[in-house]
Amino acid sequence: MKRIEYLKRIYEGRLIEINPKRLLITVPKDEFISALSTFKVNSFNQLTFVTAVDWIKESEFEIVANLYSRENRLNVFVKTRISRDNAEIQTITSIYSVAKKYEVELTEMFGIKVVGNEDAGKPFLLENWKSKPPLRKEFDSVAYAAEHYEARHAEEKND
Amino acid sequence: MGRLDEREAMEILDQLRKRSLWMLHYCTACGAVELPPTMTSRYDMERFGIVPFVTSRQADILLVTGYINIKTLRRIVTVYEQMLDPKYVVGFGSCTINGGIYWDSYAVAKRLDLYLPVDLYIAGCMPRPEAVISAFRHLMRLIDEGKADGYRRYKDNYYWFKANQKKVLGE
Repeated sequence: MKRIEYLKRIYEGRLIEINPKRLLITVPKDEFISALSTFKVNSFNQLTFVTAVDWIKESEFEIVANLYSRENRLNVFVKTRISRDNAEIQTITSIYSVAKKYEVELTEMFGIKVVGNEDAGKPFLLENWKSKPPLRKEFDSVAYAAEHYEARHAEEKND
Repeated sequence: MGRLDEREAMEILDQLRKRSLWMLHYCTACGAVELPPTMTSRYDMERFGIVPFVTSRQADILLVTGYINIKTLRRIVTVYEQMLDPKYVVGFGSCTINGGIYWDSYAVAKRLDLYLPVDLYIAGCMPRPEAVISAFRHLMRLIDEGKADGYRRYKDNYYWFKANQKKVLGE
């Protein structure tokens, strides 16, 4: 736990303990990569996932990275906020190489541009997708499904 | 003994075929979890002559187990076209019938029968191994009576199926 004490000291109260197994830190977007590097050096050497949360009313995306320290049996959520228009982040594959596919997903599902990841932007799950990125809040999934995928009507009989 | 005409030959072949169905279980989704007990000693579908098989070229049945999203659909169509005649499609679970709980999903095609000729649906979310076995017994009966003609329908309505596939895949 010496490393956790050290991290708490350098982040001066910004590193919050949600429960004994989980920590949370919110950093400005310029510090995101350096925060991840700091956590990696201090025993958090597994990246569990990177994802985004769409805060449409505040016009912001929240990027969330979940790191795990096997040594201390502890999770940490590293969060940062970026602007929703022309959303763009730097790749974190140089720190955690497993982030590659998660960044592809950020581009495909949220339309967040990832600079430095050459796979991001190529279609992975949504081939021939011509609409908005589907996990953005303004995307209407019900209307899209009704328009593109023909439904079976209950009164129709096929026996 | 005279020569058999084509109809008589088909009847004999159908009799033989129905007891030796090789199944390609295309595990698209969660429904695949019901298949291990169906295949193995608890329910043992091999007693009906149905064997799980791994390649499309040698399989008779294409069992689509669960929701069909647009990425999967392209692969299912390829797999179906690789299979040799006669071939039968079985839609497993309510997702292949009307989308099931994925009715509002942006990536799930709701009806399998628009894209592939389905011979038989198994309703349920998800169907129990008994239902799967019962469906296969029913499929055997359909084959015996010559009613499982999905592969002929696919050839006859090829352009209709292709147009539907292209429309949903956005090509």
